[in-house]
Amino acid sequence: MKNPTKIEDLIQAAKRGDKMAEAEFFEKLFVRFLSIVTRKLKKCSILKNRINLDEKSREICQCAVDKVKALYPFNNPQWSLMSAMSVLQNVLDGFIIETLTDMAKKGDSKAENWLFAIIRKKLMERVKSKNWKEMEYEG
Amino acid sequence: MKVKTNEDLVQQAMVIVCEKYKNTDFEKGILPWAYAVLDNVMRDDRKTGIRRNELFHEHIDTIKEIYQQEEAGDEAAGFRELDDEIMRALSRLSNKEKTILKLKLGGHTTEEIQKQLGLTRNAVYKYLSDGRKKLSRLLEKRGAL
Repeated sequence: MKNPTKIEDLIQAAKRGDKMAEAEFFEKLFVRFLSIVTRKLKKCSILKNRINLDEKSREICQCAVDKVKALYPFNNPQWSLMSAMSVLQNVLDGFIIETLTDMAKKGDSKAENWLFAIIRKKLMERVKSKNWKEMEYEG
Repeated sequence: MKVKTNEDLVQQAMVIVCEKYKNTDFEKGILPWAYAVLDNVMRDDRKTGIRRNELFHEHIDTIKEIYQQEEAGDEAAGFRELDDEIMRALSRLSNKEKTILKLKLGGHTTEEIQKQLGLTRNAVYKYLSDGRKKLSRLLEKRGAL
């Protein structure tokens, strides 16, 4: 039998209950996450020289992988690689926002400007979202 | 009466976030807290909008057109072309509310409406106010925004 090596093959094998494939998949997922997170954190110039990039990237990726395991076990019908990526995005956003908040509270005005720009963008997404319009008015 | 845009509401929320974030402890992080601030801003805006009949004012041109078409005997065109949600909301008004609203939008003064219907001034104001508020609530609930 051919050993699964591609990530998609590992997913299929893991869904069939292959625990070794599952473990290998999460190792590959971590590596994929690491490349994404490192690239995105490097683009975030405000964090340059303020964090240990390698250490933080690994921390974020491990946290994201743990969340994927907890939220989306392979027997969950909603499992998909996109769900996993979405988890990573949320963990990464959370880290950036938390770090910027700490910096801003200590008086870093550049960090404050970055933070407010991110929050404003998120609020605009929320106010335009369909769910908001369905909110009931109790008055 | 100016109806707030999405940008206005976000700006209002951002002012609160800017003023208060340094002295706030975020249990779940600053973003969920900012979302809660925005939610409150939008709830207050809706309540104020209904109180000020802003939702009624948004649709006033359509309502006038409906009445003009009815006057011209072209009711079928009104039903076909104009906003279904507004038509349904108008049908929920009482006969007196509909009549007085129609007369008012048609340009009649309060005094003329009083004489025509044999009502007191306060009664005319009350029917008008109740009709506007009812329309605002109905249009808001049915998502005609």
